[in-house]
Amino acid sequence: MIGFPFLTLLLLLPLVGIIVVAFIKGAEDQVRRNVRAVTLWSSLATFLVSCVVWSEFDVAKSSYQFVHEIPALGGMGLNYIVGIDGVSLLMVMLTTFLMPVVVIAGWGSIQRRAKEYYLALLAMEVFILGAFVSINTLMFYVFFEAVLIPMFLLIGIWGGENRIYAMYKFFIYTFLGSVLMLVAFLYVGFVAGSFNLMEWHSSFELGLSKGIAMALWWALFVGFAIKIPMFPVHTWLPLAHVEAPATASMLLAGILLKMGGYAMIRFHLLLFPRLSEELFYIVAILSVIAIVYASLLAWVQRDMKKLVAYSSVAHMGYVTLGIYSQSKVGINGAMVQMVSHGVISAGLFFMVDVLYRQTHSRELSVYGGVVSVAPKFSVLSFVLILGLIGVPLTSGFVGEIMVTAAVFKLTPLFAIFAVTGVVLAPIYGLSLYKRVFWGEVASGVEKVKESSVVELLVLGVFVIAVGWIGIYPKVLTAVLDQTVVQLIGGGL
Amino acid sequence: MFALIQPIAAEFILFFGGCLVLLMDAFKAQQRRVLFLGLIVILLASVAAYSFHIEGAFYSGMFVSNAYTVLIKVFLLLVAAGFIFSTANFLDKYSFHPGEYLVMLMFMLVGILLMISAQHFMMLYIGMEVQALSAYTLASMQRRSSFASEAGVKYFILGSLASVFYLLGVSLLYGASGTLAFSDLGTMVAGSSLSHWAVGVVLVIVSLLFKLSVVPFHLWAPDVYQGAPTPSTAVFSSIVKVGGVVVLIRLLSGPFALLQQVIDLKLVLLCGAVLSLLWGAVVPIFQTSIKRLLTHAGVGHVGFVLLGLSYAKADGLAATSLYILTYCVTAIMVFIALISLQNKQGSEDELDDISLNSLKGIANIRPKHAFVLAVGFLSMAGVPPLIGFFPKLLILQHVLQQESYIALAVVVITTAVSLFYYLKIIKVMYIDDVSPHIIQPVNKMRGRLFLVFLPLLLLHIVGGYVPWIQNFYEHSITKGVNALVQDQAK
Repeated sequence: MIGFPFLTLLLLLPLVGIIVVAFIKGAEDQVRRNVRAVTLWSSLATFLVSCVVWSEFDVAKSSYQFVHEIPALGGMGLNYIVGIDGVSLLMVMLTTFLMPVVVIAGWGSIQRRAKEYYLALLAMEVFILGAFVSINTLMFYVFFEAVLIPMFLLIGIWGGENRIYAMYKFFIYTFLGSVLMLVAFLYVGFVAGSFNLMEWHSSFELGLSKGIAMALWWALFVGFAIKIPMFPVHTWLPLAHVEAPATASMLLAGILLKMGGYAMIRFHLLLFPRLSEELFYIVAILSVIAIVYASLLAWVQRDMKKLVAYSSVAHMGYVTLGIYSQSKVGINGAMVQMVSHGVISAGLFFMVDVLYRQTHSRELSVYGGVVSVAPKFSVLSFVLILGLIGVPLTSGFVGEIMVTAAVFKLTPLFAIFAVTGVVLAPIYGLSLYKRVFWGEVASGVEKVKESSVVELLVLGVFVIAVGWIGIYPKVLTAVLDQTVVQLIGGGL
Repeated sequence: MFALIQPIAAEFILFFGGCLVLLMDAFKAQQRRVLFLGLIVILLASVAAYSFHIEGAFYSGMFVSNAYTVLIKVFLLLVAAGFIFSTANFLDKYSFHPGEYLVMLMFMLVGILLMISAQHFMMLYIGMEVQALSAYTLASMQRRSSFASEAGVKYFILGSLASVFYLLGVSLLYGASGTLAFSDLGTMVAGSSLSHWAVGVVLVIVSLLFKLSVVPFHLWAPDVYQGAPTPSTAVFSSIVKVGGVVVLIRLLSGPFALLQQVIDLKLVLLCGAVLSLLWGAVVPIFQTSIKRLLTHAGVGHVGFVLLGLSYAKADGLAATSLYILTYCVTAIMVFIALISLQNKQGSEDELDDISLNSLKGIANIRPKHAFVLAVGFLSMAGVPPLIGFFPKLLILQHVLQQESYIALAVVVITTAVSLFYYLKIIKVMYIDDVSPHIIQPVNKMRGRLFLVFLPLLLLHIVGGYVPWIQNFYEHSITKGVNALVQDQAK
């Protein structure tokens, strides 16, 4: 193992980007060009470093790797200590992979206040990565919360018409959940005597009275459920997606939602394995409702972005089912599903944006016959749609089948309901494709041109990722196996 | 000779320096020189407070000096110096005489320093009155503005009422114990009329809660804070608040700590805290004036502070001290930014006020000011990674340890709700289009403004993570508070 603190470097690179961007001056046009170049390069550099981390990662180990601590940094319970295991490695890879793609995706579309936009993007990358790599719970919380600020600005400044309402709802919803989470963290830290995750064990649960354990579980659960989001608290998501600019949507669906799932694995399964098992039925009911209800909602949407947003809620239902099944297959499946959904939904939001920029409408009724004006674009989009509906050999299939298998072992009833999602997904997915891409060329679509090389490249990257994970999911599960085995074995 | 004034050297320098400034001003010296002299005097006082510090009680046990009081004194003097340094150039546009303003500010500081060091209820009263009289003057400094006069009179009448309560309470305490010294009071508690004790203590606390504008004693605050000229409002909402909180901390850790068998102050303080938190979360939402909004939000912040104070435990008091110091710095930063933004054209008779709408789209014209304000407001809201998060964290931790779950629930809800109006300001500044009524940003961020804002911004953004703050908290604040608590226990 190399002793070099790669994870700290990972956090520093976008930070360097931020500093450089902050000092770029000049005419507006010039600033825009320079700023986005700097952003692209620093996010690419981050991606390269994360690739090094990936290749140096020892899959046989189950403990945290690349641990780096700076004792001087921090205070009041918060200490700078970073490290990754299989779960966080995948999330880090997803983040660093999506970031340059998102920068390229917004290459031409961001005209106004470019400097602030790219500052927000880079700040977001630092915060997200920080949340995924921190081992100190309070440090995790700080990053977890801080993500909201750039997201707030991204939605608020570059968003759609109803953006003000959407961003308030987004921010206050998630903040309320997070404060509850913080209280629970503080309590656990106080009882455990440390905020270091390496010192938190599953035996913690046994030392608590039933009432307190319940309260802590629910406080954490509400925070995570809002973030991921689960059924009764999902209402901020479609709104935020519709109003957010396309790039922010890509990040929101691609990475931010995964923070909820990540936190569930990281904290709930670590601290409360027994209670989570006991309360599995609640999570399962909510997840199944999310899968069926959100799928049906997605079906009736007329706005393409809303459709994709509701499909996200449905897909996150599989994630929560898989996580709380607490079996190796289930958690692996949930992780694969998260990564796959990150790629697919980001790709779909990009697809919607490409169309939107040319027709200025996201209404399904405006579209039709795109395939005859933009064939290459349509083919690539089709693969993404296939991923969305979970066709075998795409990444969407792998996660769903693993989760369903795991749940079948546990309680067949829930699995039967969960499987209906597999039927509902093609209904909304294919009907989206049919209405937009097939049929007569609608009047609004005539001016749509075949996508540029850059756009095809972005879509191509997504398609490759979808295919790769779909055909060879071991690339993800190999990294996960040891971590998950250790996790369901109940911590150290 | 020097040994005689050594404990009180800072107050001494400040007071006679203030007189000197007054003289210089009377002989029509240049404003710049007067302000410069004032600045030097305040800095000298802070140096004196730090270097001539000796532990112990002096002047027949009226005046105490320990690590904690010195810490607070140096902090307050430095904040005041920074405030005068950065706003000196902008005082012209307020229709008051900068020299008078400076003198009043200095006398006010003398009062606050005396309050902090008081070891006797009469000493505390003198300090409070010196501070309050200067504050009334500061509020009505703009002679031709009817709003400022209203603010001054309101502040004066209601403040006097609070003083009356204080005196009544103190005389009851005297009647019960026969002493007014902090150190003797606790030991006298046994065997005397309990109701005198209880009423006396409550009245003293109430008069302090009035000064801190805790619900339900807060109704004077909005009009006073809004009507007073902005520099005075800045001082009221930062330095004065610190003074009040520190006196509360000293009383609760000192003489009142032993009175717990007589009266349970915890409940009184917790009620005030919860009500203030609720008020501070809901009422600012409807405000259209920034000064008014900050006043109501300040009520909520004091609620947080009271939450930490209620149990009078060392860790809670330390967390509270950090909270109020952080809040003071943040408030000063926000107010400096607001003062430097203001436009000259506001006519003299009009309300010296900044409406929320006048900040519309300020990020497009003055991005640096907008950034400073945004950092300040988000830090007040307690959003990580800014420094305002940490004291909130500590107080939350303290409340959690005391297992006070109702208070905890209130904190959680109010924190989330109060985020709304802070976000509203951010939205106005960053997202709205530039308004036609915008206050013309006459001042660019450069020179001394830059000099002040840069360290403040650094403090707010990375302050929670550098070891320096951690050391400051652990070694200075915690140790100071522990010493306070232990002194009494002896």
